[in-house]
Amino acid sequence: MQYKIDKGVRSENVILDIRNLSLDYVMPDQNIHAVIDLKLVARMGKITALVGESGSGKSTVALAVMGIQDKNAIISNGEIYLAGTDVLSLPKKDKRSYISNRVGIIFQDPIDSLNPLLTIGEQLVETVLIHEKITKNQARTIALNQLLAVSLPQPEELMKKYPFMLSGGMCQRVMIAIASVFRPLLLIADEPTTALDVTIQAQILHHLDSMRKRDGTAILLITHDLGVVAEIADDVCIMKDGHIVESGTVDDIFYNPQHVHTRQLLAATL
Amino acid sequence: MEVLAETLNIRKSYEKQNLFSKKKEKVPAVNGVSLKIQKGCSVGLVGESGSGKSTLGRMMAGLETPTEGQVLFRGQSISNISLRKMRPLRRNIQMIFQNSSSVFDPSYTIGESIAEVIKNSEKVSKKECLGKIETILEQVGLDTSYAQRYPKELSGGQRQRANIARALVLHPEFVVCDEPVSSLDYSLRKQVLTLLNDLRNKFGITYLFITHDLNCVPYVCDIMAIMYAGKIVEQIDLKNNSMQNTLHPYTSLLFSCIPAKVPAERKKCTIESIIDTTVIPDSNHCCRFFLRCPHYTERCINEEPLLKEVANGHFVACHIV
Ligand SMILES: Nc1ncnc2c1ncn2[C@@H]1O[C@H](COP(=O)(O)OP(=O)(O)OP(=O)(O)O)[C@@H](O)[C@H]1O
Ligand SMILES: Nc1ncnc2c1ncn2[C@@H]1O[C@H](COP(=O)(O)OP(=O)(O)O)[C@@H](O)[C@H]1O
Ligand code: SF4
Ligand SMILES: [Mg+2]
Ligand SMILES: [Mg+2]
Repeated sequence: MQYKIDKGVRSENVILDIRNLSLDYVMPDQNIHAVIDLKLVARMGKITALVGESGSGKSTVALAVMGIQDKNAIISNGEIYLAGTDVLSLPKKDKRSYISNRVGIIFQDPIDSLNPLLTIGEQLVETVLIHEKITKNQARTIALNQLLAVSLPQPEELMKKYPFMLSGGMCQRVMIAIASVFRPLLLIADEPTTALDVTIQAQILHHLDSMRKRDGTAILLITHDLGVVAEIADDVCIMKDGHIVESGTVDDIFYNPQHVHTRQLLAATL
Repeated sequence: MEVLAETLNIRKSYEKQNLFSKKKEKVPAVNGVSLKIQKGCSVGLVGESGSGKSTLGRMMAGLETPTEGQVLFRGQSISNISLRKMRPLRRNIQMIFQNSSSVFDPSYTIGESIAEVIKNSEKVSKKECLGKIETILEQVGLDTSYAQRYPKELSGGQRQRANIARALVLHPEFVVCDEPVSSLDYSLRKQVLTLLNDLRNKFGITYLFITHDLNCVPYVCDIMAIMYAGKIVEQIDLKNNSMQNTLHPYTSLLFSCIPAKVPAERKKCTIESIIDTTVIPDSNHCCRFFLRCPHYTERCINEEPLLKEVANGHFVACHIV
């Protein structure tokens, strides 16, 4: 076994530790440096917000952690420690299952990320069966409980529905139900509420908050909305042009911003 | 003051296939709205997804015909008029859509798309046309070289500016903006709102500004109207009243959901009343908010509340106000 392991981080409840990550997109005429020497830590039971303007590289970081970056992406440097093991050092055959057993992800557009041809129930049961060797009936029970846990009413009925029959907010809660069905150590939420209106946003934030409190999930919350950050984040990393320009506790960032870009972002809130 | 656009108790229903039977049901998207928009007095229309904002906006822009009721522009009905009669009005009524990428034909340059709009409503020489395009691009803060670019070569914010340029090039009097900033990130959002404001002052445009973001409203609007389940439930003149004085329980719910500005103002996540948004009773003889309302009484279940004026320029439809 030559995996790179760092046991030291466990004592500090560090679930995700990205060290000096650099990632380039290789294009015919040039290389785009989308992530440059990035350092980021997400802790158990805490919400770490990754904040930046569009195009700053936030989603690229999320995809790299999941190991599902685009084909033309090259990781030129760095380590991504997930629960103490550098996933970049894992052989390809182990990598996929190592990551998917520990990390769940939800995307900005919930309707696009559900399979339109399968009912909500089929998708949930399938996800449960991938992760655990149990019978279909047992999986169904887990799935039902999961829907109740995200406060979706009438879960029995809901299981029979197709994604297009749900509102955006319900879809996003189903996504959270699916992403958290196997109690991931880490949940990556990439702009989970950008497409939703304020009342539904409040519901989703409430669920993220209870996930970290109840299950101790570490949450990496990607957003450009500083209101959301002020509302629920513990730690904040400000990203610009592939770099983390400032990171700190939520209070540091709001009450004592150091970097000029952080101040600009704060000034741009309405 | 002069009334620019007005709706007289308009309704719009869409047919929707029932998924479990062969029947088609009529779903009311807009359910009886009377709204007067005065010249120079922009209205912010706020409400959650599916409340009927876009449908109302499209009818006021003359892009869709109401099932019942009339839309008037300068006192003239635009709801059932021929295309020929609509044409001279068209240049004065424009719409800016949420999704700027679907507005532009990908095979046209930005300049060609804007030229199309100009040529549709006036006879101009090539040179004049070009002049207009360059002027409006500069006014929305885009370099004139962007006229030669294709839509996909612009970032989201730049494309939204081009979208605004296209809608405003003829200096319309009335512009319906449907979520013009929702797809933009925060720094761009502020830029675009400032731009809409400048253009309003420069050209005397009146907006119907549709949004689900309450924070945007005081930036560009003089009046705020709150829409719930196809109806306006509260309307408040922001010149005479403070935005904080709103009274409808649904408006309070919207305000309570706005995230904190700074960590010290965090709410302790008390969201009992934010139960599911899909539960709207389909009766017209009750308050359609009662299933979600923390204050409902017997009366709310049996009688529909109507808009009444509670203060100068402040209207509320609720039995307990
Ligand atoms: N062309 C259509 N055919 C059928 N139903 C429609 C159509 N357009 C709108 N609806 C329905 O009418 C209702 C109101 O829609 P509308 O788009 O006006 O709401 P909205 O407040 O603008 O929502 P959003 O914020 O999601 O855009 C919804 O239930 C919607 O599904
Ligand atoms: N597949 C790709 N090929 C080339 N460039 C890409 C690709 N995906 C993203 N990029 C570029 O990388 C940068 C960061 O993108 P992204 O991670 O999507 O940022 P964000 O999520 O903050 O919007 C942008 O400049 C974007 O154009
Ligand atoms: S009329 Fe009744 S149910 Fe409706 S908002 Fe007012 S108090 Fe609530
Ligand atoms: Mg992104
Ligand atoms: Mg809409």
